[in-house]
Amino acid sequence: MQFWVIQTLNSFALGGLLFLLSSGFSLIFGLMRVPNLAHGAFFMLGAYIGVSTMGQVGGNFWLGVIGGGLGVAVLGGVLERFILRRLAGNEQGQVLVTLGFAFIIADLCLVAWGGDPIPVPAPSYVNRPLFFAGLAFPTYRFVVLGVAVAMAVVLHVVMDRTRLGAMIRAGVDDMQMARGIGIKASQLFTIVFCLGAALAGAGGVLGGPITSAYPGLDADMLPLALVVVILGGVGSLLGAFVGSFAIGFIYNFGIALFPDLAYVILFLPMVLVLVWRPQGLFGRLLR
Amino acid sequence: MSRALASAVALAVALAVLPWILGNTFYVNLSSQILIYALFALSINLLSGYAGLTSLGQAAYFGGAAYACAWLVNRVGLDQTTAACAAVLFGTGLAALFGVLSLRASGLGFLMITLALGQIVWGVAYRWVELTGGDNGMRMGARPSPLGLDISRPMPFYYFTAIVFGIALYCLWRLARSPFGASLRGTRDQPRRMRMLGYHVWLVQWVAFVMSGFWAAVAGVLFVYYNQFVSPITLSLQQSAEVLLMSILGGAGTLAGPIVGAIVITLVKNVVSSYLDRWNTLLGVIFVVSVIFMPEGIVPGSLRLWRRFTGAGTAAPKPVAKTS
Amino acid sequence: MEPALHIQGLRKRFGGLPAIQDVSLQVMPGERRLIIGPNGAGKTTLFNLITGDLRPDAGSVRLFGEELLRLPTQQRIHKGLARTYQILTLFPRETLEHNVVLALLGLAPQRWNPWAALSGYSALHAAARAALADVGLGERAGRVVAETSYGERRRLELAMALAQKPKILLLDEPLAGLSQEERQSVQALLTKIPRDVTIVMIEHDMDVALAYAERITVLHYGQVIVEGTRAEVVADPRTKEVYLGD
Repeated sequence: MQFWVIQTLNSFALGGLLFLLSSGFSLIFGLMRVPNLAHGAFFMLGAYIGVSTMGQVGGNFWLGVIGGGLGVAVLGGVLERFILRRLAGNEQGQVLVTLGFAFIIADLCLVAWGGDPIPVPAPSYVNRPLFFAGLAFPTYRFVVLGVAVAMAVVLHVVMDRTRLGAMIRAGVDDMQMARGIGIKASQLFTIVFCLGAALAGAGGVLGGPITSAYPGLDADMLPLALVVVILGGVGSLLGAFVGSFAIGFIYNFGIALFPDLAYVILFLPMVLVLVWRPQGLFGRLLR
Repeated sequence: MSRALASAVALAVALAVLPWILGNTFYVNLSSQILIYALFALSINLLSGYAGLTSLGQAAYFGGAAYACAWLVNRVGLDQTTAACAAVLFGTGLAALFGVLSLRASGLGFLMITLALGQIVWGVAYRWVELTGGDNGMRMGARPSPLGLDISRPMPFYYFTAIVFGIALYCLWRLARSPFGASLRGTRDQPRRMRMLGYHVWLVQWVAFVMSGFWAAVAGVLFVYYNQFVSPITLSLQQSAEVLLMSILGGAGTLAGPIVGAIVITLVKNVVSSYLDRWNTLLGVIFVVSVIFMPEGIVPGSLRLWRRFTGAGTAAPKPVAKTS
Repeated sequence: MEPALHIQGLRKRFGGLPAIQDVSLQVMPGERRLIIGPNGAGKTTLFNLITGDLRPDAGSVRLFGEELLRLPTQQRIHKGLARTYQILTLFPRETLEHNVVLALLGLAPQRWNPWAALSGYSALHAAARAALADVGLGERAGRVVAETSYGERRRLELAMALAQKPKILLLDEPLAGLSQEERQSVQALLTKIPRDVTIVMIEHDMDVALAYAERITVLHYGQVIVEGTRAEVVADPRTKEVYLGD
């Protein structure tokens, strides 16, 4: 029983982290037609920056989360403004550049923070498990889940109720049309790219107490985010949400029950979706 | 035609005398390595160049065949010939399956799905320790002796690789100028029109995908013969990206381009690795720089410069930089 | 006699908007049929449904009695369907000859051959040059499309379709964007097309089109408003209403 409880909670927590990672990825892809392959590296860099920030500010976890998010957002903004912008219209070139940056970021993290995993301390007040009905619940998993769900609500409200959200939705639907009605694509792209990067960076810090910060974290997370987006569909927040928790459960239970085959298990939902619904569960066709 | 024959003879002679000029074992091995990567880059060029389908999962067929070969020889104890054939068949079959899935999308969706599938294969090799040895990789044991010839030493192995490479290059050269090659380029430039002219666009692309997987698998078997060892790095995204970079850097959609790209990247990688340990940063930098400043690649770019310089030649080289 | 093209109850909606509503029409073998209608009447959508670029919601499209809707586009072409595009859809970096060769190859099993040299198929190239000569581009066969004029590209579109020797040819505004002189020369080409090719044409230039067509279908908001001979359609008050009220 304890096993199932823990694994269910772990799955929820992983799903929450995947949502923070893939919602930004999905929005950027939907809006700019660029699958940002540096997104996994953003997540890892966020974790590293977060843990260093905590060291500077006397161990305050939430300042670390903000630091990781902000740091990666700035980097994302620079990447979008000064590099991707130059390649406007050349979508394949843009993807390859993001891939190049993924390698550069990952390698420089190795230089800066070394090859050993760095543990990220959770806030001390959630270190002790909650006991309920004779079972122990790791408290921090609830925190991750809570933050992710809160973030999903905030994003949903922003997308659904605000002017910015309306512009993003219009851009995802049809960028040319959106330009026609006076939406400034340039600003919108930068805002969304920074937002996506910030979500990934903050997600990295938030996941830190579970995953710790280590070289290769990027390569572990990127395929999961890709599978989430293939599953949920490009440019759909709901798709990213459902896909994240689906993959969170499948991957986590896969690892726990069949450690050898976790990746093969990941393959199956992807095949099913690609065969029956190539546009993803909630998205439009990947074209 | 005679010009093609002349270049073929020149290339064959160059490949034959190269080790005698280099002399040193290190350089002979480096040449074998370059030939293996050149074949690998030619394989992905079938997709990313001729078919206009940029794949980021090509390492799956290369590394898959390498693993299969090592596993069959080392763990199953098959004889070398059967193992090699089965390994190539495995890599090609994997490509046939992944092709069906990836071609459900086009453009960047295709790229994303090939990347995800490639990472899944990498994950299997990394996690399924019992089957693959995990992070420790798998040893091959020994090189085969085709037709009873011993190719365990660098020089004979170089010639073995050069012969396989030559056969592959000849096949790909024929393909490039064949009706199927023309069909493939047509589906890249105007898929909708091609359909309207009676072509089964999906099938043309899938066949190209399988052929590409086949040559990647052949390169993978050569690779495991060369290294006598294979590890998850061979299946990694870095590996897929590196080979894509070779074909793009040299000039996608040409035969010479991927070969030039393989020479440049392999040399840079070997030189850099002997001085410092920052290959991934450099790989990333070359990616960014070449995409921004050299979108058409070295071979078409220098041809254009050469033509402008000499004022010769009427037909402009075909630009190959593509947006999907 | 069996109609060359027999469309029944064809329907297509985009989102909630009906683009084609219950269109039925018959085109007899050898006929020259003109389809007219104001912008947005659904003319090109109708072509896209016939060729399979779009999938209809309901209805039937038969070519000499054979149902096309079950077939993917490329198989419909093998049944004898060909079309040209209003927006030029050519291979701009290739020569005119290569463009027509691709058209011919599309119907030939040799298109799968990965080994033989394409340049070795001399019959194919001769046929391509002949098709180009038929549209007055014989001298230009070796030119790259990007270096040719707009009028020449329009004719290349036509040559590619005609080279396939279709039973039914769908022409989507074959005169669009041409000068007066070029119009006349392309019109002369159209008149020369043998009667074993049935032609359905969308055209805006009423003078040219009316002179060419035998029967006319007027499409409006995705519906057939009027259909009949030249004289009948011109005399029909509904035709005037559609055009003058536009």
